[in-house]
Amino acid sequence: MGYTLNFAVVWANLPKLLGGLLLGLELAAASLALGTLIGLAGGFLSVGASRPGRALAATYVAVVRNTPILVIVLMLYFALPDLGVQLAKGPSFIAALSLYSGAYLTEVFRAGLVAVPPGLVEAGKAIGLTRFGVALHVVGPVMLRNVLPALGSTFISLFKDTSIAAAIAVPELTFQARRINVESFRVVEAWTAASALYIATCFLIAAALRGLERRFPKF
Amino acid sequence: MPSAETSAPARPLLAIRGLRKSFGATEILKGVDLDVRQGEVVSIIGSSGSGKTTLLRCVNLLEEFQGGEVLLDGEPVGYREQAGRRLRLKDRDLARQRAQTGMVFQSFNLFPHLSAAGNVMLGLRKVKGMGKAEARAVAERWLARVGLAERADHAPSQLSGGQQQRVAIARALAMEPKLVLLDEITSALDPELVGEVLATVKALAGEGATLLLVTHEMRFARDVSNTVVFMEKGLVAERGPPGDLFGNPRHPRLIEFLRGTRDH
Repeated sequence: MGYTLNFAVVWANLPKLLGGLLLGLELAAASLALGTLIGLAGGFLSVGASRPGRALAATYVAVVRNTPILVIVLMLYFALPDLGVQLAKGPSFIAALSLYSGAYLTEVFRAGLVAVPPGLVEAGKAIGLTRFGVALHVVGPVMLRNVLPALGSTFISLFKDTSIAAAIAVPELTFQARRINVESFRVVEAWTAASALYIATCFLIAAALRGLERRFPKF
Repeated sequence: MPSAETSAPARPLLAIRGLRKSFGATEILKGVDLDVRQGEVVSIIGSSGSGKTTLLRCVNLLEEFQGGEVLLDGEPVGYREQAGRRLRLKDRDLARQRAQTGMVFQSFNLFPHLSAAGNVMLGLRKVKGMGKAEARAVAERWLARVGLAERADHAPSQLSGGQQQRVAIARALAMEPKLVLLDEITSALDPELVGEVLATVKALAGEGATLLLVTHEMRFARDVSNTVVFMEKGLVAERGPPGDLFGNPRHPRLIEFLRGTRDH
């Protein structure tokens, strides 16, 4: 008994799938912004002079990186309310993904910072920049160029991780595909469509990032 | 006819008094005294490990030091006394003091994400608060003075080592520092590029810049300096006009050192 493909259900649900994709991109963008802030703070702390700062960054990375993303998502959505913090699904997921990606980005930025030649810091100090000025005008830009390739793969992972939001019924792409699956029993079509959309989107993100890399030539 | 020198001796621009610096248990500077007067060019020579570079880096506060003092234009640099305790200055004050001295490094240390002009402009804009157009004009003027007017928009990676070092000189000088520190600025250059950098420094010296430099180029030290200082084991072992120091060295280690440098 063969399974006959019928993509009609996919076409009929295309607006919902695309809406889910868009929501996923929004979740990723918000988490990316917050995660980058966390990662920058963590990265600078982990190479900084302050011992408590370094310990804080190291502990954060160790705890978060060793916890599965799904557990973090469920923890923030289901367990936090019992501790008095109630977040809606979307914000709760963004908080979880930011926290999660922030740990990876801390490591990415740390590696980028370690690769900045100390001589550049000294040259920045020598012209009279404050420590903050050196970080902003010298170390930051050089570090960002160093990490651009690694940043690209982190961003793509981050976008794919938005599929986890389906676990707390955020209506993004994976959630929509599962809904089609359940409602129509078109299992293969639903998941093929979802996969194709993920692949195409990641491909576009990667291409955009490569374009960005070309605009900032290697030193 | 009384000259400025024979009347009241002018306060030196840079006065180093009893400077002591250790890395861990190893004492690198063991009580260095050194004066640099306004407009003077002082070269420090000595074998590696004698503390020359560390001395420069203490003057520019890139290294902390444990004892003695450095006075720039009469102002103690890097530390202040409070209730008998010696305290390191805050970052903002260190930055302000560093802006008064320029430094050129052995390894150029140009900012790789900025053009030649951008390297010169960064301090002008972010430290001196100059507007973009004015900073650009100053940068172009200084790049022209080091012979790189045509390279203003080149990235450091598109420049030769000698050109990079000349940009670094322009970057330091454009800030109009009271004193310029030059730390073995030709040591990382191919031999055929050394000349252009030394010619640039010689021109600056001729224009009255106050320079304190560490060098391995003995002929250059002899040509450009008013005073040559020989450092040995963390102390100034001998100092004097280049003619005396090179022509009639007295310290046995200096005699040995000069014999060694003549061999190659």
